[in-house]
Amino acid sequence: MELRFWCGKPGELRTETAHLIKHLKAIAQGADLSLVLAPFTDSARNAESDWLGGDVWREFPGPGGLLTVYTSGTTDQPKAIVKDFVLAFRSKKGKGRPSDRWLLTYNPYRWAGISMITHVLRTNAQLIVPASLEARDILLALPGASHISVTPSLFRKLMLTDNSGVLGRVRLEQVTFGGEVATQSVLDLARAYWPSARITHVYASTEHGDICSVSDDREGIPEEKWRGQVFTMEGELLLNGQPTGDIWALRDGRYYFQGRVQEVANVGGAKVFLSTVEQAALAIAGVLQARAFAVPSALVGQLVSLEYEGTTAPGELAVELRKRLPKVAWPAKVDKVECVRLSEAGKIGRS
Amino acid sequence: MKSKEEILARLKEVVEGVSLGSRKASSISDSDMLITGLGLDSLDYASVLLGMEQWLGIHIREEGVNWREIQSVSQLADFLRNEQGR
Repeated sequence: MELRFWCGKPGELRTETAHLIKHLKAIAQGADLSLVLAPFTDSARNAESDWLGGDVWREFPGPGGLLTVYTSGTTDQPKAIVKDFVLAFRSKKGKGRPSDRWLLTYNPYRWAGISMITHVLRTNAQLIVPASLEARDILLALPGASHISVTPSLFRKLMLTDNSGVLGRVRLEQVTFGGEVATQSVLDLARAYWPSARITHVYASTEHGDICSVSDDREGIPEEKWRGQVFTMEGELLLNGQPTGDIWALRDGRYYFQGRVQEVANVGGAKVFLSTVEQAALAIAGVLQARAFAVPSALVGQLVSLEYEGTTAPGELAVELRKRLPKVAWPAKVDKVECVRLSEAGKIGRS
Repeated sequence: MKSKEEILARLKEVVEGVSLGSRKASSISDSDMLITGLGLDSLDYASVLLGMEQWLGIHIREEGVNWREIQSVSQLADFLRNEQGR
């Protein structure tokens, strides 16, 4: 068995992706090869020695066909997940045609990127790789695509960056949102851009793979899709008995994402999901990107603070949020910023 | 270090901000009680403290503070002034 360890370099996205595709294709065809993929951002590479160290060659022995990827570490230290790539390749669902042209918007070393590459390989479709995963490069490559899979935060970033109206001119057949909750406002915006596209939002994780997809233009997951799923008393979804860290609430026949277990502010003993505050902000006209975070408070433990990009004035946003959120979730501070930071996985930065 | 007068002026602005303008800074007096007079609850009070912490560039200690003794605008200004030098 041959084991290859890769840690790509920034600026070489196309070359690295081409290498990766070649090897993934070989594994899918039965080559006795396993891969360990380290992320290629500077921050990740700086931490690489902590995660992998010199033991990497000894930590992942075994038969060929294994793929070791790292979680994005949005809320915690990234952790290695070992996948049977051949099994994942064969069991991957979703239809496609060779004429489909998917635009890569995810780090190909992460599961989201691998998942897209796998779909492209399985359906013999085409993959368009931008020069980098920066919004401007993605916009430059977008006109050649017919299909795109993107995080809601990156989609908003594309809208904010799109000064020449690329999004409105591109005719997409498929738009898939993943990695974060797709709010109704995101789905509506995408529909306004691409009236005839199939718009899907997926719930997936590096640990559990693809879990669920929805294409009815509505936020949340229909109850019937999750009949038989097990939740804790707090609403955390369990998959195969394992906690997912994601809290859901059932309302009017649909499951709505409440937030991550770790992404909570403890305000005077009350748990406030930061995602709930962000979703409320993003539902307000003029707010294009939002990040809620906990700040320490001597009096009540923690308070919620919010930063956002958009045209709404902070005072107006604060007033609107007070109408939509319980008092414990009211941001104690609302700041308009030039740019809400996204993680290298294209999600709202949490660290 | 900010003077008590500067802290009082800013404190009243922050209270106005937290109350979204329902309490105007100009109508708040130094002797007004934050909770019983201005109608702040513990979350409002915490938000006012956060605003003042950030403005003063300080971090208020979590222990050893008797909040019951800090009831008026003036008392809070005194407390914050002392926290600056801590």
